[in-house]
Amino acid sequence: MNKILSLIKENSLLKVTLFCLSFLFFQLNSYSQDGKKLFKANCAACHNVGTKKVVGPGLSGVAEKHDREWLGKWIKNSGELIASGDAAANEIFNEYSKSIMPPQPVDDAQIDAILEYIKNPGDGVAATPEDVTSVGTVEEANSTMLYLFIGVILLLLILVITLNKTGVFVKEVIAKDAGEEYDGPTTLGQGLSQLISNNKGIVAALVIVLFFGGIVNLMDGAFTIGVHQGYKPEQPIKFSHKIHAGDDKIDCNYCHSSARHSKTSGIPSLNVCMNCHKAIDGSDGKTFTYNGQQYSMTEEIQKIYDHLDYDPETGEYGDNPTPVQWIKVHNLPDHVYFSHQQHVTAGKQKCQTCHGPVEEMDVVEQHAPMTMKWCIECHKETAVATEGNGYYDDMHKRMTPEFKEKVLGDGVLTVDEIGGWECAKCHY
Amino acid sequence: MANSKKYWKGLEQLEETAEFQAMSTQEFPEQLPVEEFLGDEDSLESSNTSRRDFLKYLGFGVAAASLAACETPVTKAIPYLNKPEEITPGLANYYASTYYDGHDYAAILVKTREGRPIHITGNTESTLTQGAVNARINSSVLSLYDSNRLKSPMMNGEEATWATLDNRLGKELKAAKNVRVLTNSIISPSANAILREFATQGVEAEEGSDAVNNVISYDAISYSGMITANEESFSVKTLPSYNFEKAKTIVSVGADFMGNWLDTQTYITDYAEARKPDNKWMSKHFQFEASMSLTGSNADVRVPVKPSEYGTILTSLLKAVGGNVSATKTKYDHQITDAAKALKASKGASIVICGSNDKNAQVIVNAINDQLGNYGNTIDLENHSNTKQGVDSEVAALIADMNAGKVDALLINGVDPVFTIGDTFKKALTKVKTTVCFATKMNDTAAACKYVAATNHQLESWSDAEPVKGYFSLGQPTISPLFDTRQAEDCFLKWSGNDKSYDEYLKENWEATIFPQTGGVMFTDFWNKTLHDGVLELSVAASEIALTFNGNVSNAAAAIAKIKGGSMEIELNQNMAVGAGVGADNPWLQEMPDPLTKITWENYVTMNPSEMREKGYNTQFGQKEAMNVVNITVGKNTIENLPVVPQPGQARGTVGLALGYGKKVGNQEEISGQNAYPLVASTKDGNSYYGNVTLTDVDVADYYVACTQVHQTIMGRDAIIRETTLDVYKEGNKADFNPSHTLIDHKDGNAVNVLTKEFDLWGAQPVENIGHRWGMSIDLNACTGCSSCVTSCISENNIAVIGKDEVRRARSMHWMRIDRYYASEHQDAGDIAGTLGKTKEAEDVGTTFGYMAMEDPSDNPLVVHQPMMCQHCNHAGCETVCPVAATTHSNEGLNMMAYNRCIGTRYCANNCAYKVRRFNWYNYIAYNKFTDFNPSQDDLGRMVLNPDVVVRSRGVMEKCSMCVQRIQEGKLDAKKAGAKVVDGAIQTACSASCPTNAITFGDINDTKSAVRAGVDHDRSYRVIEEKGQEPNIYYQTKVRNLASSKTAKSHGHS
Repeated sequence: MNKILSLIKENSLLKVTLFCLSFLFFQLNSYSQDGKKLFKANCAACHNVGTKKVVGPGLSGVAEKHDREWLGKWIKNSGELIASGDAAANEIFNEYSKSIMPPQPVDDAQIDAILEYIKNPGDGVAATPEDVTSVGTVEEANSTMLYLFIGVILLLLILVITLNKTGVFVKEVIAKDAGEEYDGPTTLGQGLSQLISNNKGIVAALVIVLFFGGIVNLMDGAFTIGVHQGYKPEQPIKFSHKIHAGDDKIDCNYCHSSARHSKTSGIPSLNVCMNCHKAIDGSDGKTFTYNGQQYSMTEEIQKIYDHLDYDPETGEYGDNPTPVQWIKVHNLPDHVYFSHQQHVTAGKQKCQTCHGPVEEMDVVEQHAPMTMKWCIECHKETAVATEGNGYYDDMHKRMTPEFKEKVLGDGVLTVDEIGGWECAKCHY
Repeated sequence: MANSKKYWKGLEQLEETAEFQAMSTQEFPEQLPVEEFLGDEDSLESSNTSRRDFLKYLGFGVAAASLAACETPVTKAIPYLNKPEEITPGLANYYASTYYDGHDYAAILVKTREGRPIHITGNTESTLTQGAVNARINSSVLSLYDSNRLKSPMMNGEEATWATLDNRLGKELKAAKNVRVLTNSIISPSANAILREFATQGVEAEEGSDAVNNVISYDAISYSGMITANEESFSVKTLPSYNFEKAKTIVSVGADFMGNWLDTQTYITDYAEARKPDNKWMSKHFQFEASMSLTGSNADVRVPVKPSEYGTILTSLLKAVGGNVSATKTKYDHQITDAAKALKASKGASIVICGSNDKNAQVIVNAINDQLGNYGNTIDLENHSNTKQGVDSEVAALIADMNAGKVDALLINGVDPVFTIGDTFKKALTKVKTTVCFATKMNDTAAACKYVAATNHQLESWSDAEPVKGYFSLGQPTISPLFDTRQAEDCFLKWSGNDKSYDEYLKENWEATIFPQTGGVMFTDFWNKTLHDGVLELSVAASEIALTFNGNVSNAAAAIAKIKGGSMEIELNQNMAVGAGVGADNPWLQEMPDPLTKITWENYVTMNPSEMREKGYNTQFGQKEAMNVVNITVGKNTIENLPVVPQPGQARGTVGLALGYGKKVGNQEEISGQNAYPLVASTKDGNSYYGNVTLTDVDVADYYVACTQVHQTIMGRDAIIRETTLDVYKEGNKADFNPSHTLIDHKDGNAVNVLTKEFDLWGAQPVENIGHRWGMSIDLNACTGCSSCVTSCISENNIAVIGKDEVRRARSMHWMRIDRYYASEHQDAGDIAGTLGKTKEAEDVGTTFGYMAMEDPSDNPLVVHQPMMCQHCNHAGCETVCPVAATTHSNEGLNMMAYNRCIGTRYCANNCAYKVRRFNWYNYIAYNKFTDFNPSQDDLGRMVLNPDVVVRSRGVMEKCSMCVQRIQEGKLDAKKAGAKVVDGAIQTACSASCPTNAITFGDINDTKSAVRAGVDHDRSYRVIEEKGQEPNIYYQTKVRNLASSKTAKSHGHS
């Protein structure tokens, strides 16, 4: 009884409940997120979480169809399973025109996560294709989670009220036992206000923490204004970088040729597309994944032809071409002068340094925050590509030994040491 | 008694007016616009907006602004469908082309970005212009994007289509018996051929008439007197070409050959070359003139004379060099004798020219040059200039024919005669049935013509040119026509039934006529190379036929002797901004301060200051100094309401007035100034730009002019300008012409002079041996003040146009200004009153300056032009006071300015010793006060902006960045090539545009660079160096080709 009393007195119950709740929420959330992410990264190119056939079969209900052990073997190395003569495996192999599902680099825990996701993929599965002109991605609201969360909170609220009532009852009983009149709080509100007045120090500390925490939060929030990391607009033509740069291994510079010798990397003009798509016209009717949905290659390639007013039958161009209005993903403010050639040619940087693994993205998203902090942090760490460059040799020849020691003493010449942190290197 | 020169920017400084003193001690010449920010004071007081309300609104405003910032606009990226091979977004392309507008010629390079021309510089491939462009030429890129341009052809004042115009006009031309073409001087061989073809067709019906005579050349500024004089003297009806590089003595009587006289672009580089004091010889330049011209301001000896005296001065000069002529005595015989002595000492290597359009004066000039043996040496009539061909009598004959109804159809190309000739022409035009005007913009002539053929801008056109015989250049379009326009040559081809386009015609004409002269084999190769280079120079063998002078000197002298001067005479001149009128509608040029008066946005009457004081006129400029206003009458024509401004050096008894201003038709109202062409006297002998004038005072209150001359005065310092004379310089004693700054220090009880460098307050900041150190060396001896750099900087750095009212308030945004200092000798008051004891003279005048007892210094001052921009100090005052570190120093010696970091405290401008920082008082690209004249306020005008440079917004400071965008580009090119930055590969906009190469830009740490040579030169000094700001901009002492006196030693710091 005393334990309960002390518990009530410290009122840590609420804290404990909230902690448990948040933990639960976090756990559920992260579990599902992981599965989704893994699915997208590893499976989505060929599989749909519904029943629709893509390259491979739709995976809805796959855990019921096969046992977990079999699935593990299949996913990790389907070829081996087929070779071992497994009936189910061979059936699938034959059904899908004898093409082997490539072995996936996932461990058992990840498989579990993926299977969990397939079982409960949220409402993103059956969504109809969005309006093609819509920009940005809508965060999928996980309504099941929401209901669960509200339910738990209600439950806890009832628990708190019941416990409070019980506590009051117990206290009254104790008071009666001691022959005293109970004059403590009888309602939850009174209980709380008494609690507050009894623990002014803690409340004050809490208020202070909340206040400053709020300010810190606000500041953090303010720093994200205008930062569009993760910006991932859908494009008018569902161009998948994953297919072109990843699967087909086309060099970035093939299309973005001016990155090497101009300020801008350049969005390829449609005549560059036609170098390949005159031949690859999508007539084999394949589909591909773009932003989690399936699109027909035929239709998307046709869009190129439409813009060029090109007739694939006759191979002739009409005289009514229309420009493609791509949506710019990486938007730097006007007061920043960023030069691709500086970074790609002079600095010998890989495209991925700033743009991330574009070859894995079907929809290109802004990988880096593209803030000034991000820029200068990189300039602080990155070594200048001085090797074999006569320009730097000439610069180094001019330096006094002391100055040379200062900038080259550590053996690395970083960008900031040659002025990469100076205002007028990027702002003019 | 020590004598030294006093330098003054304006009469305000010379006279030490109260306003000037107040202004020079103020960090900001601007009046703070508090009232504009807070509204009317009364309404502010009566307002019931409490502090609380204000804070509420402020809070709301901040919240709203932050919310607005959260919204991300969707930016579209639209690539080419089929990318042209040579265009890469983000990279500039340069095309060689040709500029010729009937007034100026230059071989140019056009910089285009994403297919838009954005900047013009000179083409150094041309040995004729050698890369020289003036302000009008490099500003012409803005005219391309003038939203007032004609967007389609017009018929009877209404928009029409080319098809209907071709159809109707074709019929009318067919019916017309006598078709005439009035055109600016055509220097294009191909256009000439087309016109001849066209004119021949028109006269088929009329037997025996000379087709070529149907094409009449007309120049807005006539050189007819020279042409006819040459015809009389040498039987050649052309203008000569001059070689100023070989001229040891130059005598110019009223000819502004560096600003606006014939082919200035071809003279100015040569002139500067011959003015280098380090050469074996330096040319000596005498200038006799009425108004202070750009040329006069650069002369060694300048003599203010009346225009009516030009002739007698020439006859006296002819006599003095040994000519057989009787000459009367003049007031200037002393200077004439000096000039003649110099001329005789440099026979065959001198040039005498005269700006008068009087044939008689030009005959005398020819006689002098013949006497001196200059023909075939410095003056070439064989390889003659083609740029001006108009003969006044032929134009007069055309007008007579028109009036007589003899002309059925008149086609007017490249000129605006209703504006320049005036009502006479307008009236005659009504007698012509079919009138056609070729025009890019609506103008007075186009408004009076039945058909208006909307023509391309030059940058949209093909062209070729032969400005001087044997020197060809090609012009190519750098953008497709923006509107439904067609270039004149295409029209002429079409109307003469030729289906070829002009570019085809041009190519064929070159293949047929010019290519054979080169002895080449493959035309295509030749064509591609010539188009790439822009120029083709054929070595024309100088014919050995000696020119014999047949001019009738005695007749000419007799005619000259009859000229009677008036008590007040006018000289109608052209200034650097507007020229003959081509710049009148260009906001960049209107806002460019005149090199001498520093006045913007209008033309005005210039008068001698002492004469103005006698008349009781105000001689001071200021934000609230109203100018006197006069009506000015020449003959029967009067121009009303012109302000009178003081021009030191203006000859007494004369006034000056610039032509070309006041194009009202087809322009915004703000384009100001008044048309002075009606004052040009048209006599039977041709046009005269001189005359007797009557000034009538008009009572106009509050007439302000926007003058920048004393706005950015560097106060209380002596070591701003340094100059010396040639003989002192040649002695080679640096202490005499460019002494080092020293301060007195005490060592071991003795006073010793120590270099100011030793007194550095700052910690040693390494500038040597650390990498690059960008800097400039500016040769004051080469700078002519032409202001080409000013407009080039505007074009490169997106500098805002702010209009007359804001310029008057001293808010000019120009990063590059040219400070014009007048210099006069005076006795130092300190010496007079001090140790040397008072002389009688000093006692007489009492106080400040001894010059008061002498001749008025503003009557004929010497002039120094000093380009002034951010000095990029290594110990910069601005950097230390910025509270937000928005202006900092780079390790390459640049003073950097981060606009988006600036919060507009203006502390930096406070602390700048050179007053080169500019504050954005308004958002000039959006605020409606500037809509009428700021070209960036319409979509078309914005196309001229340089995409590599930020357009600044309200509330931030800006200043010269030393074209950091070009430095970065140059460095990147070097890094990509894996080689050091080649000296000269990086040029700033100003250094690239400077026709005399006065500005050398480069890496001072590159020991072999040209700029380093300039920095290490004996003449090199830094402005107010004694203050220890360690600028990276060096200047070189000006050297005048004068005999030294004890006063001529450079004024140093002692």
